[in-house]
Amino acid sequence: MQEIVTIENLEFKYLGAGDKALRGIDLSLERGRRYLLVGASGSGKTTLARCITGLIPHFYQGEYSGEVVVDGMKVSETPIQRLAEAVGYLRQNPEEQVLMTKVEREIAFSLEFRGLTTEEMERITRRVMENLGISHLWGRTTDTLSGGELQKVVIASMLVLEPKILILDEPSAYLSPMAVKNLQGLLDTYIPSQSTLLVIDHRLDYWIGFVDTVIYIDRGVVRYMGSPGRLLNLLGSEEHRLNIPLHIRLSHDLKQVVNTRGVNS
Amino acid sequence: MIRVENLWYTYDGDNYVLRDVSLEIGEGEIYYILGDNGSGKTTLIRHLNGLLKPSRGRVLVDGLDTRETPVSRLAEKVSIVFQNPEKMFYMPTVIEEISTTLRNFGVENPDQRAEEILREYGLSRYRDRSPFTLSGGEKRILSIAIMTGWSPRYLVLDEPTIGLDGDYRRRLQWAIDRHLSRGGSVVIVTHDMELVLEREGRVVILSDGQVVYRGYTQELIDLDPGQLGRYGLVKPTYARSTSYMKTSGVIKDYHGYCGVFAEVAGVLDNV
Amino acid sequence: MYRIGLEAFRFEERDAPLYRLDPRAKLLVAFIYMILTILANSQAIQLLITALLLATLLLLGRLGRKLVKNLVTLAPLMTLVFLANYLVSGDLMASLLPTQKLLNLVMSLNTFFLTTNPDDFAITLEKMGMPLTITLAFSLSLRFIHVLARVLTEIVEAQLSRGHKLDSGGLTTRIRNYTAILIPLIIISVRKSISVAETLELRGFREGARHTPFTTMKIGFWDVAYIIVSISIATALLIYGGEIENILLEILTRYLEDMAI
Ligand SMILES: Nc1ncnc2c1ncn2[C@@H]1O[C@H](COP(=O)(O)OP(=O)(O)OP(=O)(O)O)[C@@H](O)[C@H]1O
Ligand SMILES: Nc1ncnc2c1ncn2[C@@H]1O[C@H](COP(=O)(O)OP(=O)(O)OP(=O)(O)O)[C@@H](O)[C@H]1O
Ligand SMILES: [Mg+2]
Ligand SMILES: [Mg+2]
Repeated sequence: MQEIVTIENLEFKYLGAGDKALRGIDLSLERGRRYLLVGASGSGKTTLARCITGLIPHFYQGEYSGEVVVDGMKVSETPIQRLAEAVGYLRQNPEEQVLMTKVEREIAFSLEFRGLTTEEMERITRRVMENLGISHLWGRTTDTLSGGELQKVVIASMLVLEPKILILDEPSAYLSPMAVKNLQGLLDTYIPSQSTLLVIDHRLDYWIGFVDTVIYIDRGVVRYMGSPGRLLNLLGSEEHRLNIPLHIRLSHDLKQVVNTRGVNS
Repeated sequence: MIRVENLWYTYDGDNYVLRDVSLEIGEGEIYYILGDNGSGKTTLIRHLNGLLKPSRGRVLVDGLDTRETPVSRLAEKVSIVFQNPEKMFYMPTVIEEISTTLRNFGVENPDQRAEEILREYGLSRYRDRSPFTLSGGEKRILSIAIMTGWSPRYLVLDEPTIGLDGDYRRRLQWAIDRHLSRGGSVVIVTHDMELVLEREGRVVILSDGQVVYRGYTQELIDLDPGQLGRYGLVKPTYARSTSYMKTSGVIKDYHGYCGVFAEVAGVLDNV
Repeated sequence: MYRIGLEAFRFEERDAPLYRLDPRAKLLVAFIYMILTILANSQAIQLLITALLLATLLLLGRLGRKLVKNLVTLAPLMTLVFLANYLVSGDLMASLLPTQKLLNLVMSLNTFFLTTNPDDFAITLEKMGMPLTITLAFSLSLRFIHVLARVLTEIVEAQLSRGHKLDSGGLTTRIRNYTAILIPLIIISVRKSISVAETLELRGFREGARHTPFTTMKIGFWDVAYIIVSISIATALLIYGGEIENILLEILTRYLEDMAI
């Protein structure tokens, strides 16, 4: 089977919200590919991630229709713990996903249920901490870290997982540019090649060179899915709320000048 | 003027997170504080309105020593938008969230002004929503809207662009410009190099609690990538292309995005 | 000021001998001291226990500043216990004893709780045979103190920056200003507990799942030494309590007489 995630006509409205957050999403994600999900604030990116991980409909109340299938499991009928064996999910707000007081235990938490020996767990944890440049945080408590340090810790807890699909909601938040670059290198080494990566981020400049496919959603519907280059061309001519990298914006702006001048003369 | 004089700070009494930091933030200036994760940026700005008191050294805000002045007094002058917006919300609706703060600072017609602010930041749709149910970017722009509503003299933003889409980002830029044009000063802590390069301003880089670089944004363009890398920074493609334009003579000097655009457009004109 | 309340009872990492000991050793010793405190019915012996505990906390734990905060926070309670006893019995010395017991009980617990990471404590419990669900619940609820301390600090800072005067103004303004702290604190706590439940599932925790605790702890030389010294002191006090008390009293009276001269 090629697809790891298939979504059919998914609609969701949060309890008490005026509008639907998702209005008919049709989407399929293939194994071994890297996707970047972009869209305006409030366009439904996090909501979509919650639908894949099962938080919707298992934890969030609202009107749910359509179907989401992840790794052959129908999300609405599968307990989250079962889905968690296939899905790794970095939440948008890192504070929401910390469970442990000690940094190294936080990173190793999921490993503790995998039947590894203590030595193996320690080796894996040390390695990922070293790779992320946070070895010095070993032994610290998770509640006095800086924004970026905490973000790195929660990212580390995802990298050790080797999930079939890894969803990162704003991984670049709080990270220094060097740390983002480093993270991308680590995703190459840590994520098995047949795994799927779904990155949600507003920083196109960081990610367009890294992914195969960009998915652009607008007010709860998928507007574009394809190569990053074509999206940028498409966006050159229409209204949107994406963060276009400055060098591309400059060339767009200049092109416009040339065009208008051309017409004038 | 905010003067930070030989500031040292430790959370636990043993390890110094800030070591001998000195800064001077003048009127109408924009200051970018950069540095790798954990270098002490957030700790530094928490000193600017007296939330943290120096372990050694002192901080003067318009001549007032932060150790001797109540935070509520300093908060009128120095407005800080924190890294984590959620911690500031407590009202049932977005509109009330904005108007209470206006009231706290004695702004006239707070209700009417709050409605204007909602429009300015593109939040009118969410007027009666609970701030806690907003999406990530909506929460952040709301926190910025709340803290820029009155006219503080110093606006301090801790990683303001995280989670903002293109539209909210433009509104943030607009708010910064307006603040500067009124003679206010802006301090921005950020990892967002494109934000830094859009304007001309002063730059301070922290590393391990020490100031390791002082300069101007236009100098960052030509700085050695290796040196920047040591401080966790990477030049965006945009910086590399403008640097190239400079060496090849297309632009004379770097004056922010608008400057480059104007110059290059001028060159195209002459072709 | 607002920081004192919660921080005084919360573990913070530090590089000191007491922090490096095995949680089991520390727990055992804390129990020994508690039992001693409960059994000893003499002010002099209680004073001795206080001195021992102080030595442990200050020298082995380097906890001076924290202990001051801790005791300042507890002072009202201790005064209350003292006054209540005094009002009932009318005897100054006799009312001192329950106050001393309270103090020593708190300090015994401090030798464990202020120096032991909740996560390590949970592992200790797990090693002693408790089911994972319970130990996890335990460490999660202990962690909640940390989370609340951090959240409280951040909320107070945010609200101060928003112009809420928390330290001045009339009663109504103050009450209004305190709601600005209480409401987010309550909302965020509730949301935290929900997100913990969500995250536990997202990260694959299941009741009855096979579990390998991450840290292996080994009882080392210093742990044994710590236990043996404490047990010896306790036995000595229990067996020779009377004699020790007499000697102590003698020293005390002589000291007091010297002072008087
Ligand atoms: N818990 C909730 N209750 C009610 N409405 C919600 C809730 N969470 C999100 N929403 C709303 O649903 C819409 C989609 O939100 P979502 O969080 O998916 O946006 P997003 O694309 O992730 O945005 P951002 O880039 O800002 O994180 C928004 O209008 C938001 O206000
Ligand atoms: N409450 C605290 N107790 C102890 N140490 C702390 C506390 N808060 C921060 N630190 C430590 O102080 C150092 C500086 O933290 P700070 O939050 O100022 O960093 P930062 O430069 O803002 O980093 P980032 O870019 O990741 O937000 C970090 O090493 C952090 O772990
Ligand atoms: Mg989101
Ligand atoms: Mg910070």
